Amino acid sequence: MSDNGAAGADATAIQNAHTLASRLREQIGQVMVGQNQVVDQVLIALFAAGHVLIEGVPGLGKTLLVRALAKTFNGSFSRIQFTPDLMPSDVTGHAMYDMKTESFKIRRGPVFTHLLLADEINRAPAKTQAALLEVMQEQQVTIEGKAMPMVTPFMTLATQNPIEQEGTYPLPEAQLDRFLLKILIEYPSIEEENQLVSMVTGQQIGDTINVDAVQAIVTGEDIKRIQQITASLQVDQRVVDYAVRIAQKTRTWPGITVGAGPRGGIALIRAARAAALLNGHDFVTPDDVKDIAAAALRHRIILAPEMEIEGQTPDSMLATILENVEAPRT
Amino acid sequence: MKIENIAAEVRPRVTWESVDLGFSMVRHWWKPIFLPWLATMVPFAIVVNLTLWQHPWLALFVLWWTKPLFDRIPLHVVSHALFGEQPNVAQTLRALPRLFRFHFIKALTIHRLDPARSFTLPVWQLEHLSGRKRVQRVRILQKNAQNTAVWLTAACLCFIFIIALGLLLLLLMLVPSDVAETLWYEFSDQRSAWWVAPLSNGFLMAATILIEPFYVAGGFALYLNRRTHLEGWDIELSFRRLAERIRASRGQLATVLLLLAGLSGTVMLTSPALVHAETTLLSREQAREKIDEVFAQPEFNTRKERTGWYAIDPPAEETKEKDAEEDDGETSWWDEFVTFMKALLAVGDVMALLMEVLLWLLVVVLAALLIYFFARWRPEFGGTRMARKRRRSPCALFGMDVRPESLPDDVAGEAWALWQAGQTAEAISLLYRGALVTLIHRDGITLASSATEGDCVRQVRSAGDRIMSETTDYFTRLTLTWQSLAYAHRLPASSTAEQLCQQWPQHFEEQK
Repeated sequence: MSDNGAAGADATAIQNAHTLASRLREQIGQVMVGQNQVVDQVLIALFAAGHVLIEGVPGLGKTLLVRALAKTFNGSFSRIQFTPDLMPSDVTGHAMYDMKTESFKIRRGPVFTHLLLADEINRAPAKTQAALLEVMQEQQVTIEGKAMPMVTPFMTLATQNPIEQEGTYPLPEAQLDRFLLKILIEYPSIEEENQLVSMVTGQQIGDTINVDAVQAIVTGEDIKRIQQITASLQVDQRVVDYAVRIAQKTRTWPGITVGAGPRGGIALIRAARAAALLNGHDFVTPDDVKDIAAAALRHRIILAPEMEIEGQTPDSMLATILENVEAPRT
Repeated sequence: MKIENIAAEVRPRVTWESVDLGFSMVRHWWKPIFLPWLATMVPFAIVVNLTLWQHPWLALFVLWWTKPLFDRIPLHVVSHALFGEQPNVAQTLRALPRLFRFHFIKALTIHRLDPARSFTLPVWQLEHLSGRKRVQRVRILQKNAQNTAVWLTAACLCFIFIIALGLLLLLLMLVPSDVAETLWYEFSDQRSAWWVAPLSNGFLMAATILIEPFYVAGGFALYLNRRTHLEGWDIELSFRRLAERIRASRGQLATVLLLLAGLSGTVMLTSPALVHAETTLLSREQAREKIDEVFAQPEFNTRKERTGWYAIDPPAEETKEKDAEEDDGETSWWDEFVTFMKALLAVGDVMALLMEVLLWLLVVVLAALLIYFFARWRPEFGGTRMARKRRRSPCALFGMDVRPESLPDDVAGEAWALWQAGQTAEAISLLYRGALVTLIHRDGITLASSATEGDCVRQVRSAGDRIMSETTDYFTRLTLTWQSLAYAHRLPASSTAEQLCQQWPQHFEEQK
């Protein structure tokens, strides 16, 4: 047996990180009714220092989730509504000539924030999408030849609408790969919706959910520390092998035209580490990998047209693949 | 028409073979057939298309509807050429007014939709029959050939569409791929460009111009074959050749010609439109006497009784009266209607046969699908008993041997001994494997090879009353210990290991 994750983090630090993670979950859960899995997956992406693509119809609380998350750690939060006329400089920033000083001043764009909500990312043309995705990958912006690093922790939460595909620019596969997880937001259950409606309409003006109830319980530095602890969680080689076998299986599985690349296996392990931390483990089990596999791989595979015609979805194909990949033992 | 001059071998043929003879005629006389045919059809098609350029589909309809008039041209050529009077192009063109004039209106109205058109056209054009006589003649002729004539029409129609489609595909193959894509889009689009309809018309007309002479000649050959059957042309020709030979060798004709005349007389009685022998030695009365003699032979006097339903022909007097009334060229609309209905019935027969074939094909396809899906879904319905048994009792799962025989008799004792011997990982592994084996074989828990440890715990929890809650709790603790050992390489405390070994038999051993 060999380990991936070095000596592992200190047990107390892991425990503290888990406690903080649980409190973060509780705080967000105060305003984000239902959607526990979505909250968990967003936290997993945050702890794994990844970015998420959230897909769901409008009005399911995507913005609320980001606002609540930003508030928990007193972080800054920006929102960009992607539109067909949005330019790359509207996202990253640009140099502007100052008449008084007779010099160029760099005006930083909205990406210089801790949490960035890129709303309806598929409505902007490819070059604007590419500008944002480059920032996500490089963690820095270059304006007028000057490289400016992003503030940390930095996380992008991009959303897209599964309906109204008319006039959109679907993200290319290579760029989808940059997102650690693709999270699907579904409608809440009847009990959750009852609770939500009561909360929004109870002695309140307007229809926005107030996030005042959310308290800042961690700092940006805490988040960075949790990210470090997550990255150092112990992963047995057999678990790595399990993740790689899953990713590889997507490449040979009939009905999938393009499977996940090596980045798929990497994403699985990164997300599984964060999931283990959130579950209170100090090591990663195959269960952590299996539980996060759909979110980590669903945007990295392309189904064959006949499978789509048959009504198969990436999730259903991945479920079948997981049933056919032998779990590690002995 | 001199039958001895016929250019084809005269013998009774099966219907499709005679159609083939017609096609051979077109190939043989392609030049005299196609030149006047093209010289009339192509200018007419151009004029119609230009006149109706705003309504291309109407132009196509007009060309299709007037086609029977032009069919007379290939028939005129082939019928003359067959009897050694091959007309040249100028002669054919000169004959056009006469050809077109004959039954112009009827050809474009009540007879236009005759499904056996190629077969009935020679009766009009070559025998110049009309009225009741024509109806009766057609009725006699079409008895065995009607179905083939209808099939010939259907087949030629199919050929026309295949060739038109082939021309379109050829065009698509020859143009660059992006242009081909546009062309295909335009052809498949309802609101297509202005040039699509004329181009389609062009393809359809080209295919029609190519196929139509074959269609006409096929029908004509069917007609000839029917007459050969009815009138014994082959026998007559044999006698003529025999007579020639005898005349040449001995100069004695009497015996042979007597026989020949007798035969001709017989045929004349049965058919009003005969090919008359050029030389007869017997008068009609003598021939009648001879015929009576022949019919008086015992071969012609065998009687059999058969019972069944048969249509009663009208009395002879009545028929004669009607004939007298209608011989002036007036056709009874009723007879025309009856002929038309019979033709329709023949179409019905063909359709029925087609439907029967299609239904049988459907049955075969359904049976094949049933077998295919049964084989495919069999595992979903539980599969065979053997397969179920195999699934219930797997031998190895996730790389572990899960056969009960692979376990020692005293799992807990063996595990504790291993622990004490310092083989700690093997000890916990044995406990975990033993628990899984018992759960699979004793409690019937179904575990797939893809099941993770968490999946196993969930399966055990969902087993309900089959497994006691204490056992579930124990299994959960054992799983956590195993996971910690396997994936974090963390050994449990000795007390924990001892406790697990001690409690194992309570949950798993007694029923093993």
